[in-house]
Amino acid sequence: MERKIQNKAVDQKRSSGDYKLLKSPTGIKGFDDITFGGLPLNRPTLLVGSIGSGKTFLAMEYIINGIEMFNEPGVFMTFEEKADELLENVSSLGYDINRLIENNSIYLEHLEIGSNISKEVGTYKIDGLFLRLEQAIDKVNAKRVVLDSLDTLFASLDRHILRSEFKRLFSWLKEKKVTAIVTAELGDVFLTRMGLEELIADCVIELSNRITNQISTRRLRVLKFRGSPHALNEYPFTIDENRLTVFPLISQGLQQKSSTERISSGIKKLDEMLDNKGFYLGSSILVSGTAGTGKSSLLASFANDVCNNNQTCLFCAFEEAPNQIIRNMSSIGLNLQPHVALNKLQFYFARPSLQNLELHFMAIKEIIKSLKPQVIVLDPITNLMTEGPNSDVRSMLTRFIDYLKTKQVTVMFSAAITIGSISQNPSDEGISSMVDTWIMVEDLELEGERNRSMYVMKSRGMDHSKEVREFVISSTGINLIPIKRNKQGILIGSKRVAAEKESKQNGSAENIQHQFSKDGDVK
Amino acid sequence: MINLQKVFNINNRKREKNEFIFELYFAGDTPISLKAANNAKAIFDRHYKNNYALHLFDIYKNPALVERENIIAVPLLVRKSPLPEIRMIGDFSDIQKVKNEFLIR
Repeated sequence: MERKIQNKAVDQKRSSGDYKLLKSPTGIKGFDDITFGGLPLNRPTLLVGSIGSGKTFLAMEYIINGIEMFNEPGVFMTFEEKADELLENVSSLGYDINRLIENNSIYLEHLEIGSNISKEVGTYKIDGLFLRLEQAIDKVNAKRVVLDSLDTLFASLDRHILRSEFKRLFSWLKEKKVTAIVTAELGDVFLTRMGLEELIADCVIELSNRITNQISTRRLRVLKFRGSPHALNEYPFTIDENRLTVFPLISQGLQQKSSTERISSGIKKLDEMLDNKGFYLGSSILVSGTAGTGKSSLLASFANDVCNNNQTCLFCAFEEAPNQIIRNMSSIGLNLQPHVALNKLQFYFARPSLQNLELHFMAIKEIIKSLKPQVIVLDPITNLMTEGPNSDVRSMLTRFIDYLKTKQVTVMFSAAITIGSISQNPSDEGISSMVDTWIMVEDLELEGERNRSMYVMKSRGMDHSKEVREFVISSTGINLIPIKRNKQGILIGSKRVAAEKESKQNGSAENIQHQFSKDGDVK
Repeated sequence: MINLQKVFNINNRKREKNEFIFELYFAGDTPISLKAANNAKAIFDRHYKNNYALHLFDIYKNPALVERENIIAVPLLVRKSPLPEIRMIGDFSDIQKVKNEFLIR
């Protein structure tokens, strides 16, 4: 009978939709995407990670975002750092925490375990902790609670008693209707040292900090989220001066728009090779070739043209300083200085090894947000690749290109990739598959002379030319000259100049056959 | 349930000043609290005779205490005098262990 009544109540609840799992948004960029809304509302979440993986920071960000974005006061209870130390640490990251304390929207408490190292004789309860937590919650009317970290408690007390006491604590937190984050160290045998994951079964998030090739990357993964779908992968995240950001792949990518508008490459002859119109707006263009083939010049020429058309361009230089680029490009007739003065051309210059890739991309994204450029140029991305395992660079780059596509920003980047390097390093090919247009610049060595040549390797969605052209960089700029040939063979470089002279003298061009070499039959 | 505070609060006024002063913090009149008070009293009665004071505090009746005394686990027994302060948690069922801590021979 009793059971029947209970079932009725359950049915009622079900029909009214009360069973929906509600989420407490964290306000952390990317995090709410991979959890589809945030942490489980009014339930404790376990946050595990090794030393220095950013647990405390994520937890603090959750509390502060709660106050600033969602008007939900919070309690931060720490067992590790002293409250004033924590205050210093957090305010050094750009939070005005004093104001929050004065507003009574945050309550920081440090529970000193040191003086509490008491000898245990028999069984006990942790009601002292309950009471302090309750007082803290009531003081600010908290909706969010952080306990950082329980390991410190476990270290000094009997773990069997504590485990059952923590179980009581977590169900008490649920009754109190607060969303809690409990942090813990990563363990060897269990997920956490104390097997806390058995006690908190609702949501488990793991943070890690892995070092590959001397560059460390923070990663976040949702291990478990009872009753809710969540993204399964490990996602890189960063902590910079002010915010924690998680980089999910899922939130982007599918909503890209594909423009049919075109943008000139800045070189008339190159536009000719690309359907006579140039690149697609918002596409990604790779310029590859070995050292000294003129990749940077091509990039700078594109940037220059964009600025000439009264649009803005962001030039990300990973190799040369902006001043050096301006000087060098003036030697080929590209005057970038006025564009810089008019703020149409902005430089982002950083050594790739300065920080990990995510931070570079994040910094660039910040500039994109404020500058809103039509075009972004990266010179070169191969330098970035030294700063992480190739697969990482590729996924970061994919994410970045996806981001640019959603913003309809055309991106052109250079890379020291050649046909030869692909066979040695297959991952290079992966980069080329990400791009829409691939322009190859090469050295042609012929009879003791090196000459540059260029061709369009691929260009999605257009009928591009297959010819190889001589790529001439002079003090007046970049020119692409169709390769001519006569009886002796192909005429490029000094031979072409000599032949031109001769034909001028002869007053006829009959002995020179103008011919476009098709599909690489250059010999 | 008996009122622990009434039953076990012991302050021997026979002497001017007690040499041994203890404080016992507990959370409500629960079996564990009772056990702890009982055990503590038994040990002190036997070894300190009338030369001690035992003050009991219910943290639920006086929640401000938890912060002042930095209490996490209860029952908590604190020897306030003589110094140094000694803190011990539990129900004090292992009498020998308690004696060792307080250097009772």
